[in-house]
Amino acid sequence: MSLPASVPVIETEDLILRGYREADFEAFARFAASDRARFVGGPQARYDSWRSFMAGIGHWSLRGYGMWMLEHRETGEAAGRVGVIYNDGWHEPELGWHIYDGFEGRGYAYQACRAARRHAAEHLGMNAIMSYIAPDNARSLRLAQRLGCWHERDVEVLGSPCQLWRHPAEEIGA
Amino acid sequence: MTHPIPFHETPPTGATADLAARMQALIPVLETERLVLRAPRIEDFDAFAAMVDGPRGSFFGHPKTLADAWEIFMQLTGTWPLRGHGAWTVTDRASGTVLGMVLIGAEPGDMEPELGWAVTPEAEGRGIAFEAACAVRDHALGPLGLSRLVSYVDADNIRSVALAERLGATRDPAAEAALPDADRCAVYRHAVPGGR
Repeated sequence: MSLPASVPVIETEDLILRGYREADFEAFARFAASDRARFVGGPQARYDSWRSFMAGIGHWSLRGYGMWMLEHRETGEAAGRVGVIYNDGWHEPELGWHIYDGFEGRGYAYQACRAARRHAAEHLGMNAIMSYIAPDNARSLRLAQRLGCWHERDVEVLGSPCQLWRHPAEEIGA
Repeated sequence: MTHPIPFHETPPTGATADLAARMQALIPVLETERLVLRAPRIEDFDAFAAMVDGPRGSFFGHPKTLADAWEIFMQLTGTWPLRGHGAWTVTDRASGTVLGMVLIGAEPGDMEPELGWAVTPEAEGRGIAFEAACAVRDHALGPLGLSRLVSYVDADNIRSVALAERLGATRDPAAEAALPDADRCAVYRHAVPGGR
């Protein structure tokens, strides 16, 4: 069986959104171990990253959607992850983004989020999706604004304070 | 670990249900006299979280919080596409009730593919774990063609030690000595047919 064959592939100008492959794990673990993972449950030891990596795959099989690996078209490298996550205990499904070192500042998160958001609206029945953002994650707050999101309310996610940002609805079929 | 919203995980609907069903269909169904072992589904999570809370969670990473249990539940399912094996939900053939989970795992820190099991309190003492573990072991060493299979067992877990022995597995002192100190436990090795 193969996950890449099951997960829909979406292409953007610079990226291919596709299912995880085992070869992506090194980039995944490097990001998870870095300080930049502090807003998404890290930093995480390599040992725990393996569990998270497999969990990200399991999400697809259990929910029928999940996060895509972002493959950088030009180099074939794993550039990050973007997609819809709905963990147990969350308010609703979330559009999340992680951009790996070396791929920041190039508009890739914006590009991938627009594609994922449109896919969620058109194919997953999830329009006007939300994103959780830590109040001190300045970069993600800027991206949310650029994506046209607004700060809907403050919430607690599994005991941690968090902002819930709402995305604008996509025009389906446009 | 208590569940704040009991039995709230519900099956996916619409297009997401189709993709989940397609992926779950890739996981083989194993049948025994009393049981059907099938792909994990989201609606099994509440039973899983309740089951692995406490000593029954010994093969499932001892989750301490519901968030840990959630991640492990997803991990057990996500092992399939990477390794061609993973966890099955064990259900009662007649009623469909969830009775436990059995896995051929590739957990962090495992040196070899592992056969592990857990059953709900209601399923204990009825030979359910034995029946399910036999089916999974035979699948692992038969159709799946694994050349080795062990069970990492906490030596104080009397029930699991008894089950490993009932399955015919034997302690492997060399494999135990090779484990890092932090992961010290009894290693029970399952005999491979034909001695591969």
